[in-house]
Amino acid sequence: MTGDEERPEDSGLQTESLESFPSQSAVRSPQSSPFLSPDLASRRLHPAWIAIGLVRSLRAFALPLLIFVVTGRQNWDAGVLLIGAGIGLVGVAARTASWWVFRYEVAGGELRVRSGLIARQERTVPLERVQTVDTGESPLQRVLGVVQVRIETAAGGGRGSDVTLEALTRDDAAALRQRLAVGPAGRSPGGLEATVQGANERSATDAAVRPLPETQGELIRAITPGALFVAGATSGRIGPAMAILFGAYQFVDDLVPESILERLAMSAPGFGLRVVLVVAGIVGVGSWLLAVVSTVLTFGGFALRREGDRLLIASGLLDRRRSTIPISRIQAITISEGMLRQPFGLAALRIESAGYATDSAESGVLFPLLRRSEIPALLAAACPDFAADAAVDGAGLNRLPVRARRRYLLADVWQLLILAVVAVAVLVRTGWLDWRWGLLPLALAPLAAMYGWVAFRDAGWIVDPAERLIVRTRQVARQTAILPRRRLQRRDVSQNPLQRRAALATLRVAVASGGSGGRVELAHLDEEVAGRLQAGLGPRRAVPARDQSRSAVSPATSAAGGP
Amino acid sequence: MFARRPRLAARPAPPHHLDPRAKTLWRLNALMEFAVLLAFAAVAAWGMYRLDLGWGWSVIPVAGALLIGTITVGPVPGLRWSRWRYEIGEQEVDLQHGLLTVTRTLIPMTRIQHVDTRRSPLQRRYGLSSVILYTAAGAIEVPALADDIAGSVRDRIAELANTRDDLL
Repeated sequence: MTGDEERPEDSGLQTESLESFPSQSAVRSPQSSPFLSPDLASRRLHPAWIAIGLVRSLRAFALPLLIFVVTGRQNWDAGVLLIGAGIGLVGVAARTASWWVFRYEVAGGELRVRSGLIARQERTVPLERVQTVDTGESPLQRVLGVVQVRIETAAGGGRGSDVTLEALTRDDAAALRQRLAVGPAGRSPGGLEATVQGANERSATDAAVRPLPETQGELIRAITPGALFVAGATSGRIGPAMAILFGAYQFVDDLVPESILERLAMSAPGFGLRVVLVVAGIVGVGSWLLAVVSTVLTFGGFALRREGDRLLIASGLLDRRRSTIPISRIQAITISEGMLRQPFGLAALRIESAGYATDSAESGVLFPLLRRSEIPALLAAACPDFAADAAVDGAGLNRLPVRARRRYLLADVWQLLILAVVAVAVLVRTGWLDWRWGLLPLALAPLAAMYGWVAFRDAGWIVDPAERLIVRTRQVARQTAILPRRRLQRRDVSQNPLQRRAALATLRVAVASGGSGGRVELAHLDEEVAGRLQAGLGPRRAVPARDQSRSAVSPATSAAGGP
Repeated sequence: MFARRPRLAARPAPPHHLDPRAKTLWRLNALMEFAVLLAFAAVAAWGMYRLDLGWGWSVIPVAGALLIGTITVGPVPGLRWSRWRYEIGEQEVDLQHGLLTVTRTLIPMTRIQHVDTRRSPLQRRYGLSSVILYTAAGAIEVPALADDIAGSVRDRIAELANTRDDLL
């Protein structure tokens, strides 16, 4: 263990790094102005935090309150008002008290957050563990003149993997970001020497006027209005949009008196199929428009910048969000070609960084839409470690053995078959409908088989000369993951009895990730190839002699391992 | 099909087995689950009987529960035990596990963030511990090692893993 028994989730902290911090600050302080000392004195959030919380609870109560006001008109008296006002006052007082006790500071190489009215809580995040720092502002926060800072750590996406400071002034936020930025330099490969140098450079830039994050650094690429529209039109985010539309419909249905709807229906001649078609058309187009709008709002003003060893990503029209990602902490890059985008040579780039939970559409997007041919240049500028041409053209990929094709083809067909059997059995037994209706799922079988065939054709892998594992699979969208060998956290090879019979196996690798995005699975490799890949992608230094044969997945041998 | 050694054993499987008492432990766990399952099946059977579907229908859930129980209490623990292998190498932790689907897992030492040992009340009764390895991509459990072996495995991993991690 690393000598940290009380907080097991943080005990990955290396003791040596703890010791390095005081010395580092000692080295830094002479060059830094007092304002830029590495520590940040304990302070509270902006009082706007109180208002933000109150507005949020008001929003949650708005609908019940509205219903209460509308339906309960008759017994609307002073007593009820008094109780309501009392509850409100208690809420304001509690929120204010919470604000009073909430404090944060940066000291001793750690970010400390104290909170809790009754049960006092103290979170300590070693700066070394800070993965990404996001700044965001919702419209409300913008009105109140504050920003939100979210600090994500590598705790694996579980509880307490991030700290959110909901209301900071811009200056406080900038000051905090400055202190948190110590982390990546501290871990640079050159050790303390590099740290000192990095600190010097940083304090040099600190001395200059600190620009706002959105104009900092060198612009790599910003999204154009045209690309933004295309991104929305091809986003395929129709499902959620449809759900919203149906919700809206339900709402209208509840509010508008039945008689009006009935009269509408009666007045329309040929009520029936035509109406259904029109409604379906409206829902379809409406969903699509909604998808375009939501994409424009999410990715409007998207800009990718690089400042030294960090990437700065700005995004969003209403909810503005700015992320800082140390380049050295990027775990994997995925090129995602949606079904509507691939035919036009368009793709999105996703980034896997240890801190990110995949909780929102924009988190982990390196760039929302660009031409495939533009990817190498962007990667070379943003994160050269991931600039793998093989991942873009896919020409050199090793394909799966032909005997895997049947499994890909039938993977979904089996499920349809089982569904059909069950449906037929139920219909025969109950006689609700003619049993032949139970065969309906089989109508989808050709489609499923075609998808399987495409998935087989797309699947492939290669270990390129820079020791990056590149895996291409299709999960509706064609996904090409670029995974440096030294980023792999674990490698699994599994084989079920049927695969064993066909000498096939499934390879899974995982990189550090806040969400589920860090896992990549390639099904039905040749078992020997899978085993060799698994063994060969391990740590390389000081390999014992008996393991020499295992660790020999050089590009040459891995290419020979293809079918 | 069960008897055949997994073909991945073209590479030798990791050498160490779990503690043999694991089989008893798993069997006890399976027995408890079996009891719960049987209770549910009995309720279902009674419900079907009350619905006048004919007593033939009532047999199905009970027979199903008995079949599942027999398999999970009978051959499964032994098979699972024989599949579970581990090795704590200098460079990597090497695991093999799985009943029908056999999975081989390799985790580099430098990726292990920390190690826990854990004991459930039942494990304590048998003097067994689980070792849990945490990486930045999730945790994996090596179940049912003898207490002293679990402790030494934990210490060995902690010692070997205590090198600078290039993740951060």
